Formats: sequence, structure tokens, C-alpha cells
Amino acid sequence: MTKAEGVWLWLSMTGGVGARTAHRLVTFFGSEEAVWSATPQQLERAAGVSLAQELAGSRSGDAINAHVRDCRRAGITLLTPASPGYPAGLLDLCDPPCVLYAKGDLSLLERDGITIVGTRRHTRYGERITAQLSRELAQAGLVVVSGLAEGLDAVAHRAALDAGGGTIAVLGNGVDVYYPAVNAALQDDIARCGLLLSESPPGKRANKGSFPMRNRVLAALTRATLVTEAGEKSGALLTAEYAVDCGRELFVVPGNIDSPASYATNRLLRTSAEVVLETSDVLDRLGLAAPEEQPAQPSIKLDEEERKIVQCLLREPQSFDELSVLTGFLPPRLNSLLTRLELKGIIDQSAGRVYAMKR
Amino acid sequence: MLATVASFGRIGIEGYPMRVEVDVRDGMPQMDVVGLPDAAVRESRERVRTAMKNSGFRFPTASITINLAPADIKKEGPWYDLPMALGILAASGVLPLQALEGVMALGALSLDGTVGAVTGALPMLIKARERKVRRALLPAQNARECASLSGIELLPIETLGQAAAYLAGRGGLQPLIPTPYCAENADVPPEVDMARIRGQLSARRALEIAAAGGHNLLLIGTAGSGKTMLARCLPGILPHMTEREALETTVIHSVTDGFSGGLMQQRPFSAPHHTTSAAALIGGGRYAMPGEISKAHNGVLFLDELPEFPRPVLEALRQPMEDGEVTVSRVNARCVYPARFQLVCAMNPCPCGNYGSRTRRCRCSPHEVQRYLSRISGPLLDRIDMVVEMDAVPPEEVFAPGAPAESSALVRARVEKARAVQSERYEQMGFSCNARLPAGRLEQLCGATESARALLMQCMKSMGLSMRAYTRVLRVARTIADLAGSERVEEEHIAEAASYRGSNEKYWK
Repeated sequence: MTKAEGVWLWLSMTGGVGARTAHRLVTFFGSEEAVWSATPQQLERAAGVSLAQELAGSRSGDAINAHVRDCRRAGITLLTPASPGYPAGLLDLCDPPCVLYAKGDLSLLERDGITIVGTRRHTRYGERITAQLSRELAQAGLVVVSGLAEGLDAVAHRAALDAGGGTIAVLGNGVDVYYPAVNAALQDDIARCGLLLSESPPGKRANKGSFPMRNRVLAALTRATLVTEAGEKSGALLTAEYAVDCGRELFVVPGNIDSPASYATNRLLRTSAEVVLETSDVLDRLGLAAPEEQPAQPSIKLDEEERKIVQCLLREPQSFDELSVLTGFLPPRLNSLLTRLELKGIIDQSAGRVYAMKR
Repeated sequence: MLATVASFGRIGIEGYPMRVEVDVRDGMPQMDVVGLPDAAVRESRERVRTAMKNSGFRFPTASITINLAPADIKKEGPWYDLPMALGILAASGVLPLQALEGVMALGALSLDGTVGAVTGALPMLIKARERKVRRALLPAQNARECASLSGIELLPIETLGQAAAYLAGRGGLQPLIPTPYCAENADVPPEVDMARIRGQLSARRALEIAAAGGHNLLLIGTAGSGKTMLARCLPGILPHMTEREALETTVIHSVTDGFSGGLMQQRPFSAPHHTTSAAALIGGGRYAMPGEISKAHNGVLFLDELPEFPRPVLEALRQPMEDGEVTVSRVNARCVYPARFQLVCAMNPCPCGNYGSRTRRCRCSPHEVQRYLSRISGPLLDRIDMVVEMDAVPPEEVFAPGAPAESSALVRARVEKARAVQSERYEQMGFSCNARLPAGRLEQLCGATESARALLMQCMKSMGLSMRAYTRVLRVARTIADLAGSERVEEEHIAEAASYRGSNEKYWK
């Protein structure tokens, strides 16, 4: 840990000093070291009486070293604007984070990434499309960045991991805090195979303000942001706004015009966003090559009856009763056919016994 | 002079013989009742005195002592009014003493001498028959409930005068002709017929399988999707009760609800509200009375709005579900009640009731949905073999013209056939339906083919089924095979059974 990094850490640990103030101080004094060695009078002139007191109070080399040691022991790396590995994209923000706590594969930060975000209250459509785009973009070599929230964020992470791609989760709480609890297993997987990033020190729980802050990091970290589904008040909209502010590409997936879950995404399309209909829309725009055609999946053998069901589902998802009417199969037979198709991985069912094609 | 009248009491649903001993002697005119009488029994004095006077008898001006033997059991209720009155008449010389031999009497008295009904007459008379009592005087209002008993002469009486005249040898009472229980007599139309249910093909089929194998069932569906209606159809497609079952069930209802109209012919359907306490569900109160689960014995216990039930109440269900009976202990009594019921639960998929609906939008956050679902414990879910999901049928379909759906009678015929196969297979094994097949003997008794077993393994792997889910699927598959008349469990049956396991994993991650 260099002196300069230590100074950023000190500033981040001082109450009342946010990212914006920290940067102003460093600019004012000319360098990190100058802030550290500034006299109380100088600090007072630069930051005002109360902040100067806070800064003087927390200016302890021992405390900073202890914090660094604790993090290192927990396998957490610290990245500051003075660190060589600090993501350059974040410097486009007016308030780049003073410290990023990172756990996992740091090399992912050097690769091209795409931020994929969406609502927590998604539809089946949103889930399917998010998983598909995330998988294909990951296969094209992009690192999928998202916020590890419930819903579509988790879907994007999971799809990228399953496709063997890289993924980065930016959290609003410490990287060792499991939130939301339902994603605990996913969070562990990302720590192992991907990267967890957070502005909050280890052990810190999220508060109301930490998620909007997290969203600015999400938007600035990558060259482009993709919103797959967002309703009227979704937090994904904030990320989209930051992305535009930072001059990033904004991609949006269109939805049904009467679907409340696509209310905001459809309106983004009307104003500022690029429409995404397929993966190449994103890749072309970013100047990336589409991956080699995947070797065709081994075709799955279907018998006459199974094909009849698949044909009904190709158009749109159907409930059990509708399928029975459309195909003419009686419930006992239909039950068993559906289970077989499910086992073959072609269809899946969701709440209310509605069946849909898996892709 | 001393007279003894035989009578019966009961603790819970067990009758026990007792004697009403009446001693009338010269002395200060008074009447004492001993032998642990409760308030209702002590008040008998006034009722008996007045009823005798109003029936035209002279109440002896003497010192009367009445003992209710055995004297160490607490006596409750007004059922000993009649034996007391008859004892006083015999002890004061109005009736010959030998007239009371081989006769038992039961009945409350009203002030004008009319004999009123008693609660729980059936278990007492069953005990009387066991004890070889030849004749029983019982209130006419209890006659229908006990009419199926043969081997004991039942003499329904309306008034004290009638009973006294009969015992004095003046006749006037017609013994009840036993009407043996006959399952076919029970063919009354069900409360809700399945013909009235529109659509819901998946759920209909599930109900039939559940009925055929006695499987516990969980219905998850949006508000207004017809969960309650479907559940109410279940008693109508379950096989008719055997005489033994009908008797067991009627005994419990005789004790809890007072006199009933003859042996119960429909299987009971007990639907306690979700504010019901554990004691009301399991059994309890001062005298350890049977609870809702015992009232549902041989029938259906329906718990609507399952997540709204307090957790301790649901957890209390687990042991009786396992054992088929429940032991209720209280200060005054300790009773064992049968409680072999089929559990049907219904619930909304989320607090607003629209999660998974295709027509209405759910207002709940994922977190709220999870919290709602997690109110139901894993161990309880493990005891539910089948999960069915329902969505509301659109109104235009409900009122669409078309042939009515299959009636309950047709479904019941198939269910009875499948049950017959099961009772033959499990003869002498201590259980009679697939749902009660113990996990330890499942492999040996279910008779799955190699390919069926392979398919089940595949299901476990790709659907992430637990070992518990494995046994559930296998049990249900056995029932499906029985419905299809197949001796072995084939792939087909496993595949269908697996389609009803499922939502467990879908809702409860």
C-alpha cells in the first residue's frame, strides 16, 4: 500500500467526507501526500472547521494500516484512484469512489464489460430475455456487470456464470455482507468465479442511500449499459441516467406496450436509448465481433406427441388447461408428456402451471 | 329399600358401565346425590322430583340417598335423571325390583316428565352391547343415531310414564328394529358435484389421484380460482365408508355435536377457520373433548388460507398425521381419539393472491412472496404428497355452453376400484392406502419397473428432488398405476406423478 493509497483510505474512512469532498481536497492541495501533511489551519481553510476537526481526528497511520491488514486477511483488495488497477472508467464520474473493496478475480476489471440491469419485479419475458442476452454477451467475451439485486440482476449474473463468462457484482453493502439473503449462494459463486466490488467497507450494511451510489459505479464501470426490463419506479432507471451522464452507450430491450414491467424501458427507447433486438445490436455498436457460431446443440429427439405440445408452446406460453384443449391430450397423458419435455430441458413451468419454451 | 339401575357413562368416546344405586328409607325428607356428581348431576334432584310429580307419581316423603358408582369417576351431564327416577320408583315400591334386571337406562328429564336426548349415546350403547346388556331404555331422540346396533334391544322412550309402565309389565314400547349400515344406502348426492366444476383439468385429475390413494393435497391458486369448491368435492368422490368407519366417525360426532341423524353416510368434511386454536383443532378443553382433526376422522380436514394459520397450530398437526390418532390429556381426563384424516390445504401464492396469474398483476415484492410462503414449515410440506396449482377460469369459459364435466359418481367408481386393489395388496399390513405406505417398505411394495426407476432417478437429478420428494413421487405413481389398473409402476406413471410434486421446488426454493 503506497502512501497515496493510504490517504484515499483515510479520506474514505472520515465521517462527513464523501467522494466529492475527497477529490476536492486532493485537487486543492495538489497531491495525496500534501493532504496528509497539511496543517490543521490549512485543512480548515480548505474544508471548513468541522470537517478539519474530523480529518485531524481520524489521521492515524495505525488505524489505516490495521484496516488494510484486516481486509487483506479476509481476501479483500483495496483499490483507490491512486492504485494501478483502479478502473479508469470511474474517473469519468464527478465523484469517483475513494476506495473500492474488491473480492475475487481482479483481472475482470481489465476486460471490456457491459452493465446489465433490470427490475426486481420482472415478468417471465424479462427473465428469459435477460438470461439469453447475458449468456450471449458473456460468450462474446464481455464481462457482465450488475448489482446483485433480486430479480433480473441475479438472472444476469447467473446466466453469465453458467455460460462460463466473467461477471462483476457491484454491491451497496460490504462485500462480506449477504444481501439480499436469497442471493447468498450466488454471491459466494461470484466471489469464487467473478468479482465482488463495493464502496462500503467490509461488514457495513446497506442503507437507503447506498444503492443509488452503487448505481453510479455500475454505470461508469463499463462502456455500455443494457436495461432489459424496468417498470415505472425501477432503480435500473437511475443506472440508465448515470450511464447517459457519463457518456456511455445505453441499450434497452423493448417490451409489450401494455406491460407495466416494460413501462419505463419503452419510454427510454422513445428518448435516448438504442434498441436491442439481438445480441449483435450490442456487439456491433461496441465494435466487437460476434462469437463464432456455437456448434449446433445436439438435436433432441421428440416423438409425435411431444412435437405437438412443442408446436403449441412455440407461439406463446400456455397453461395446462389450454394445452389440453389445443392438443386434445387428456390430463393423465398430458401430465406425463410435460414431465418428459421438462426433463429433456425443452420447456419449463412457472407459477400457476404455465408452460413455456426454455429458449 | 335399595334399588340399583344400570346405566353407562363415558369418558371421551369410551363408554363405561355404572350403577345408579338408590336407597329410600324413613327419616328426614331429603335427597342426596353422591359419587362425584358435577353441577348438572346435582341439579338432577330438582328435575327428578318435579318430573315424577308431573308424571302422576308420588315423590316419597323419605330420606333418599343416591350413589353413582363407580364413585371415583367424575360424572357430568343430566343423563342420569331417568335412571334416578326409575330407581326411586323401584326403591319406594312403585315398581317391582326385579323389573330392573338386565335393563339399562339413559336419559335427561324435563320438568313435565319428557325424556330428553343425551350427547354421546352411541359410544355408551356400544359399550352396553359389549357388556351383554339385554335391553336399553334410551331417549327417542337418540334412537336414529343408535339404530344400526344389533344384539341389544333398544327401547326408545318419550316420557318417564312410558318407561315406568313398561317396567311395571304393562308393555307399550316397541323395540327398535335394527337397520344395518349399508354403503349403497349412502348414495346421497354429494354436497358439491364435480360436474359443476368448469375447466381445471389439472386440478380435477389431481383430486382424483388424491382420492384414490388417500394422499394429502395442497392447492395453490390465485384468489377465486375455485380451490375451496374443489376441496369440497373430495368427500363426494372418496369411497363409501365401511360400517366400521361409519360407526367410528358417528361416535365422535355423537360426542361433539350431540345426537345426530343416524349413522353418518357422507365422509365428514371439517373446515376449521384459520383463527382456530391448537386445542380446538387437536382436541382439549376441561374434559379433553375431540378436536376438528378427530371430527374429520375417515374424512377430509380442509385448511383454507393455510399460511394464515398460526405456526404452532400447524406444527401440532404433524404427530397426529403420522400416527392416525391423538392423545389429549387434561386435568379431568386423558383420551385417545382416532384422527385418520386426509388433509387438503388451500392457499394463495402470495399476500395479494395474484402471483402467477395470467390476467391480474401481482402487487407483492419477491421478498413478500417468499415471506408469505415460508410461513409453512418444511416438515409439514413433507407430509403433503401432491401440490396442485390453479388459476382462475375466465368468466366467458365458465358460462360457455357445452357438455357438463364428469360427475362425482363416475369419478368415485374409478376411485373405489383403485382402493379395492390397494386394500387387497396391503391386506394384513396394518394400512390400506398408498398414502400410508411406510417409506421403508415403499421400494419393496411399489413394484416399479427398471425403466420407471431410471426415469425417477433422472427426475431427482434434473429437478433437484430431495429424498423425501422421491418417496412422495413414488407413492403417487403407485396410485396412478392403480387407477390405470397396472400391476407395476411404469415410466408413464412416474412422469405423471412428478408433474404434481413440483411446485414445492418452484415456490419453496
